[in-house]
This record gives sequence, C-alpha cells and structure tokens, in this order.
Amino acid sequence: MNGRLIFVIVLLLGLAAVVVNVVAAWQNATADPVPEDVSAGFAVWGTQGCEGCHTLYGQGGGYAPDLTRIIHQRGADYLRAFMVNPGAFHPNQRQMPRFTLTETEVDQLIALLDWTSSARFAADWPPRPLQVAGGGALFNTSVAQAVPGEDPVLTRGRAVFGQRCASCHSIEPGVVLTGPSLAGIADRAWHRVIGLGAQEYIRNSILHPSDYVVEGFADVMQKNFADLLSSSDIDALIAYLMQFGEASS
Amino acid sequence: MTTRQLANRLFAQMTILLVLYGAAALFAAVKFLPGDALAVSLPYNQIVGVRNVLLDLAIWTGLLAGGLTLLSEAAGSARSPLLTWVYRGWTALLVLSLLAAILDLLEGRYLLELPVILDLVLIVLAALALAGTVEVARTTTGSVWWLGMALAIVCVIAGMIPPANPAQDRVLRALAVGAKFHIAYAVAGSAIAIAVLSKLRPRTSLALPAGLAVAGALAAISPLAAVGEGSAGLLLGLIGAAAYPFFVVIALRGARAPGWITLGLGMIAAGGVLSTAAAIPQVGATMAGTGLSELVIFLTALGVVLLAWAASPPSGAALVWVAVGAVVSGVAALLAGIVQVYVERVLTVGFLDTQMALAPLFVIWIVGLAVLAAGLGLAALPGQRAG
Repeated sequence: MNGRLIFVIVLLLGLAAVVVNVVAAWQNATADPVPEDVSAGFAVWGTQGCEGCHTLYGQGGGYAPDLTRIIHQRGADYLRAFMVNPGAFHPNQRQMPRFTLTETEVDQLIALLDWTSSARFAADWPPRPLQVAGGGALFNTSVAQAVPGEDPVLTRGRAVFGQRCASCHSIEPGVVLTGPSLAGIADRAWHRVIGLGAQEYIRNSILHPSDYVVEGFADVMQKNFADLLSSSDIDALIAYLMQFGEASS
Repeated sequence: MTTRQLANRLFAQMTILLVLYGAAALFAAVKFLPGDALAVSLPYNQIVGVRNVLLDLAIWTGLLAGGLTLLSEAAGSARSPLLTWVYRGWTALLVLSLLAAILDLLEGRYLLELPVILDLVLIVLAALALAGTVEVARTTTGSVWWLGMALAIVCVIAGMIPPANPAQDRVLRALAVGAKFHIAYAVAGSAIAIAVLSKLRPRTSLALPAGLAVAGALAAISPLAAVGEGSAGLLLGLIGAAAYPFFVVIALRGARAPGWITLGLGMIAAGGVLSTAAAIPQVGATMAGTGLSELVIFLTALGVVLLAWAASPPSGAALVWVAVGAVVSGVAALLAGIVQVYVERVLTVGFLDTQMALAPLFVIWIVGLAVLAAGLGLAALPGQRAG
C-alpha cells in the first residue's frame, strides 16, 4: 500500500471521528425545542458581537466574563440595568461599551441567558462556579489571612464579604460602587425599617433585597443569596457588617 | 501570469496581511491592560474581529501561494488564465474584506467574522483555485495539500450554517473552526513543509500530515464536551497530546530543516498538545474560555502561516524577530492562561479580579507581540525575500 493511500485512510478515520461526535452533539443540541425569544436573543448576541468579548459554555473571546450562568448570579433586573448603562458598574475595571439595545432586544438577551443557564446539556459546565468579580476562595477562611486574635466568625464574615459582596458594595465611607457603601451600616440599619432590628434588617436585605431598596439605587442586587450562602455564612456576614457603625464611617 | 509569478504575488499579499494582523493583535492585546482609553470608542470585540479575519485570510493566501509553488515545481511554471483570474478575484476579496473590517461590517461570531457574502466569494475562488491546481494532486505532497484545502472549503461552508442557539453554534464550530484549523490548515501546511523537507531528505514520509489529521480530529472535537459530547477521555486525550510532538520529531529527524519549518511545526505541536489535552474532560472543562483556548488558535494559525511561508521564506533576520516574538508572547500567554485557570477556575476568584492580577504577564505578552509584529514588518520590507 503506498503512502498516499495510507494518508487518505488515516485522514478519513480522523474525519469520521469528527463527524460521529458532531452528529451526536448536534442531536443533543437540537433535542429540546428552543423558544422563539431565545433564538431572537441569540441573533442579537451575534449581531452585537457579544461573543467577541464574552463566552458562553467557555466559547468566545475570553476578554469578558463567561455568561453561561450569569442570570442566576445577578438576576434579570441587574442584567437589564447593566445592559442599559454598563459604565455605571465595575468602576476601575474592564469596561463594557454602551450598546444601543432596544427594550425588546434586552428582553431577548435576558431570555437567551436564562435559557443557557438551564439548558439540559449545560448541566456539567462550568465544573465550578465562575464569578464575575470578587475574592472567591482566596478569601475563604481556609486560605484567607486571619487577623491575629480575630474571632473566627468575623474572619469568615470578612471572607464571605470579599467573595460575594465586595464587587458591588464598598465599606469605605462615600465610596459607591453598584450598591450603597456599607460604612456605618450597623447604626443605619437600626433606623431603616421600623420594627426591624439592625441584624434583622441586614439579614432581610441579603435574602430579600427587593424589600427595602435604598433610595437612589436601582433594585439590581442578585436575589439568590439564599441558595449561595449557608445560614452560618449569613450569620458570619452579619457579624462582620455589624462592626461598621457610624464611628467607623 | 505564470504559476510562479502568481505564487510570489500571493506571498506578497500574505505578508501584507500578516503585517496588518501583527498591528491588530498588538492593539487588541493592549486592551488587556487596565485603563484602556479606547474601551468604549473602539471596543475589544471590533478590533479582535479585524485581527481574526486578517489572520484567517493570511493563512488562506499563504496556503494558496504554497500550493501554487508546489504546482510550479511539479508541472513547471506555466501560464494559467484560470488561476490568473482567481488571483484577481482573490485580490478583490482581500480588499473587500479589509473594507468590511474598517467599516465595522464584520459578523459577531468569534473566529467566523467574515460576512457570509464574502465567505461565498472565498469558497468560489478557493474551489476554482483547486480546479486550476488539480494537476498538483498527482504528486504525493501535492495531493495532501489539495485534500487539506478541499477540507478547508467544506469547513467554511459549515461555518455559514446559521445556528439557532449557542449549543448548535458550538457543534458547528467544531467543524468550522476546530476541523479547519487543526485538520485542514494543519494538513495543507504540513504538505508544504514536507515538500521543502523532501528536497533535503528525499524519503520524507507522510507520517506528519497523517499524524496531524488524527491528533487534529481529537483537538477539533474537544470543545464539544461542554454540550455533552466529544469527551474523548483520558487515554485518547493523552495519546493525541503526545502525537503532535512525536510526528513533528519524526518529520524533522535527519533533515536540516529550515528555521521557518522548525518554528512552524513547533507552534503547531504546542497548540496541538494544548488542544488535545482539552479532550480530557476535566482538563477541557477547566480551560474552556480561558487564555489557553485563545493560545491554541494563535499557535496553530501562526504555525500554519510559517509552514506556508517556508515555500518562499523571507530573510533570516525576519525569522529571528518572528521566532523571538512568537516564543516570548506564546510563553507569556501560556503562563497567563495557566495562572488564570488556577486562580479563576480552581480558586474561583472573579474573572475581572483575575485579569487585573494577570497584568504583569500581559505586559510580557504585549512585548512579545510587539517583537513579532516587528518581525512581520521586517519580512514585508523590499529585498527581504530569501527564496
């Protein structure tokens, strides 16, 4: 058998492997019907060049965060506000340009992102949660630098804050990121809602952020902290925030 | 025009495209540093689309030029009215593509940015070029090149099928991007490489393109794991990753290979190792969407360009700059990708914070790209053609 024939056979074998996998993946990708607004959202995704920066299922430009499960992390309201005015978010970090999206297009993109997060074939991806911003496990109690003599509960609360809250809330007086600064929160929280103590107010704001939105801020805080944080994490976070009274601000 | 003249003109076009690519790649890379003043007025997705289109067209142009060189050596440098018209059409395609890039008319699909109408023109012209070079398929290396190019056309057609959702897009992309870069381009480029090598060592085997075809198949299907298919498994992934350097060493063994070929094959092997390693489900899922996925395409694409260039290489000075730039930027991007995987994917630190932390490595990456762009610019200077 001459070399050319062997090459052709090997090439065909390689291509056969590709085709078999592509056909199986195509069947998987087309097994469930795709709602019309999701397809429309994907068209907007393509025409606006979102994929040039972002990734879905790890596919795309890699210049901006993966959005496969962003709807669970941020919620639709936050994403809607972000798409309308991205410059107001993540100051001093990579900026998204402002796209001239219609309300319908924003809704279609939200429908797409909702669909990507729950699609059957995406059950195993990503293998670990991907965060847009925040400290992540670097700030977990196991690896975070504990302050000597600090109560372990406060250390844990500081870690949770770094991981889940710091990208939107500052603890510096007057420094407003996406949400209000939490400097002085321990005292302010006493007066926010009649009948709610400071700790109850903070707990309620973590679990039900839409209940008492601070004046001047949009209701864009993600709504799934009850799923993301254990009760001990929330207790630790409240203990950590209760350190910040008016004196600290 | 004779086939040799057409090949030379296409090589000149490829060089110009590469110079433009070098500038666009540098511009896009600078945006990874904090404080990008043009973040809003010239967003990353626009400049990166231009960069990708320039690189893809440079590969096509270089491979066509390499094929015409093979043809002129196999059948003599004869006049060809058909190929002359193809060359004119190709020139028009390049001009129209540049205009589309300047006017922000590129499409939004990453690595598939060329507008559909220009894709159609490319397919027609490439098919006519293959019809005009069918004679080269009578030679061993020529047939390998011809098959690689024919497969590349099929891959472009696959990329024109509109996906209805991201999962379908991912599947089509395995053909339109994965198979095109890792199989079609790599096979066609390796045909040019073994044609050059066979002048130095007459009994050069087809083990290189055959090995690249099989390992490239694994590399092409590895991204399908995220949609529930294509998980080749630990064993196949490891075999594929090992196959690249193995076949490259076999190809280079016993021949004093020109630097362009050694560097080109080295880059394809490095990109291949990374991409087939991603066929291991755990590895692929962890590195998807990080700088490592980007690096795979960069290494493979630039490697193919260098192989095509080997048929008519620029001066040695340009090679040194290109080699230093490719190695420095490649190593920096590799380190940045590894650190990103560990910090973002293992420690689950936020994407934006991870990118900020990677800034020092991005600086080295940018310096490497600047050297690479300088090398590509040097190759474009008059009188730099060595062969």
